[in-house]
Amino acid sequence: MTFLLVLYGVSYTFPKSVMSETHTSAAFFPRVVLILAMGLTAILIITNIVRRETSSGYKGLEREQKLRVFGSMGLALAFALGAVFIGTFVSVFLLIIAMMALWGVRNKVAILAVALLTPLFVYVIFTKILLVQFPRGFLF
Amino acid sequence: MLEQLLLGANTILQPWNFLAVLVGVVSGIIIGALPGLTSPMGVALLIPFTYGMDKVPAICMLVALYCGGTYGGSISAILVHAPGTPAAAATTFDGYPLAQKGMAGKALGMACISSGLGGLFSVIVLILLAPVLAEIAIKFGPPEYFALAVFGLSMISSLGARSTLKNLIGGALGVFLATVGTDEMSGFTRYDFGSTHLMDGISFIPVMIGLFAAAEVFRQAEAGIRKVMLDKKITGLLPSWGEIKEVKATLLRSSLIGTFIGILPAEGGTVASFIGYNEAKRFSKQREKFGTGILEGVAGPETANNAATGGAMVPTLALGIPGSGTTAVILGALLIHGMRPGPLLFIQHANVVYGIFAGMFLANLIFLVVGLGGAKLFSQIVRIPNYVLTPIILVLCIVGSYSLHNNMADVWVMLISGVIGYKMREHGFSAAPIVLGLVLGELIEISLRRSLIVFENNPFIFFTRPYSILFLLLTALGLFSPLIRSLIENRGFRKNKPTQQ
Repeated sequence: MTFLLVLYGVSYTFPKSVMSETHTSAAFFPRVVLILAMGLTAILIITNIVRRETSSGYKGLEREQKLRVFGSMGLALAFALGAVFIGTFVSVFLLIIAMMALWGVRNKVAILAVALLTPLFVYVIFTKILLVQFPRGFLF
Repeated sequence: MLEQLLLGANTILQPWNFLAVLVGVVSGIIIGALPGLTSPMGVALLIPFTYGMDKVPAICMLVALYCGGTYGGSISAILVHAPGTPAAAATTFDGYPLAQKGMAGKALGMACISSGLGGLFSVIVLILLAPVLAEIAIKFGPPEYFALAVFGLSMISSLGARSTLKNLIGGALGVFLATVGTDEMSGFTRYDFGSTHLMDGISFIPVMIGLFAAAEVFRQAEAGIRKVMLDKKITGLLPSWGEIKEVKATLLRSSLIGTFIGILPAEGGTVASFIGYNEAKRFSKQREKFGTGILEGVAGPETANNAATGGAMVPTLALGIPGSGTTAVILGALLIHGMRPGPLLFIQHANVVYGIFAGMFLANLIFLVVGLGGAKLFSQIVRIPNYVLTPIILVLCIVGSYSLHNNMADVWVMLISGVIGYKMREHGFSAAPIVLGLVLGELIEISLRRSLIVFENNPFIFFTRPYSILFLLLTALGLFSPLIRSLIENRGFRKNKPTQQ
């Protein structure tokens, strides 16, 4: 709700058109949608309070689950940041090894096979066939 | 029309185009067979592979994945009691008991044949109905388009699998996201926060890949390592002629049900399969055997869910209003390839439209052959552990998003969407309404503002034009249908209460 209110406030910073008297302004439609979204969110909050429910009865994650989920998110983030510096294909290789290790996979052959074949697949399909230029970085 | 259809068939039978459809079908079956991986996700992941392709094979490959994926869901539903896609949930009722009786092969064969026939039926309806609908829609002005787009959005919001309110909030957020970037009418930028990337608006594809695929990667991470043990031997794939004749009424009924439900803008396949199953049970002579492992119980839902694929493409192509989550992603792909779905598509890109029709027909034929021929092989796919697939999917999410504009900003959009999609799903929100809102947002805004300009800011214009009134009435009916249904159920309960006592 707060987020929606902030976005609504931001709409007042949009410049006004010289034709604003005859035409709807750039802020008109986002405001309509945000008011609608705020109204619906308010109903949802009230309904949850009346029914004494937390949002969808969500119970939270256990420690290991948290580690895997946030670890996977962190690895994806690290990939997006690191690919530019060390190169996309090396990053793909490292991402797969790190992710499978994070999940607790012990089969080294499986890890190595997936880690080698995936960058190869990406290279053949995307770089050679679809001619996509990935960041090379200082490695590859 | 016949001439254009033959031209479309000629296009799709070119070796490379045929190969694209084949790749789409096989990828669809594989994605559908793996529990957790759904058709919208598969289509979203496949879009980056189509960037360099011609329009016809590109869209046909995606549509073929949609058809193949809907059938593929039945493989794991029958073999391991875990539907590969939500649309295959009803197939587990009789499919799995059949597998336990040692008739997995026959169940897979019946699923393939009924899916193929349902799909072919719906493509014929699509070919006949879509151009007629487009011809009607060509007379629509901005008020009608506004009402139609609102109707499309409200239907998926109210008929979605989860809470109506949450789906509506998701739809509104999607429409809001569509307003980010340069306003087409005034030229001013909105919510760009100084970023040059956001000035062009938020691209559909990274958002779709994030919401459907990356969110699934994080959900799989939450679930942890999952291995499927498959100890059933698959033999005797083809049901006998007598067994097929026994279910012919079910095949026809479910084809009609699936196609009709698919045409309605909602979560077509899932709803269609449950209704297909219920109706097959209601009309069956062996009603009491349903749930114990009966081929009719597989034919009913499988025919209906594949019939919904062709049905869902009718409003997508003719009106530009997606009939399901997957068609919302396909609509995004059409836009990426420079085509705006709607009545003008049939005039400006008639060759592409008829190519899609022919491609969809071919896809259903191919998966009949591939599905029956490769059933044993596809059943082994279920065994692939998720710790192998999930990192590969994450890599495809990243490289696919990057490939759109050769830009890291799209990767960031995808990752943020993935995290948001994962958190939203935790709290009972669905990704489909957001995607639908994002896809329809521009149409809703432009048609609303154009209507107000043309009709001198008169908001009542939407209530004075017949088609516009019709769509708004349908919107109201769609939005209030859960309330009306619960009121009717409560009344029925009160009426029955004294009798029960």
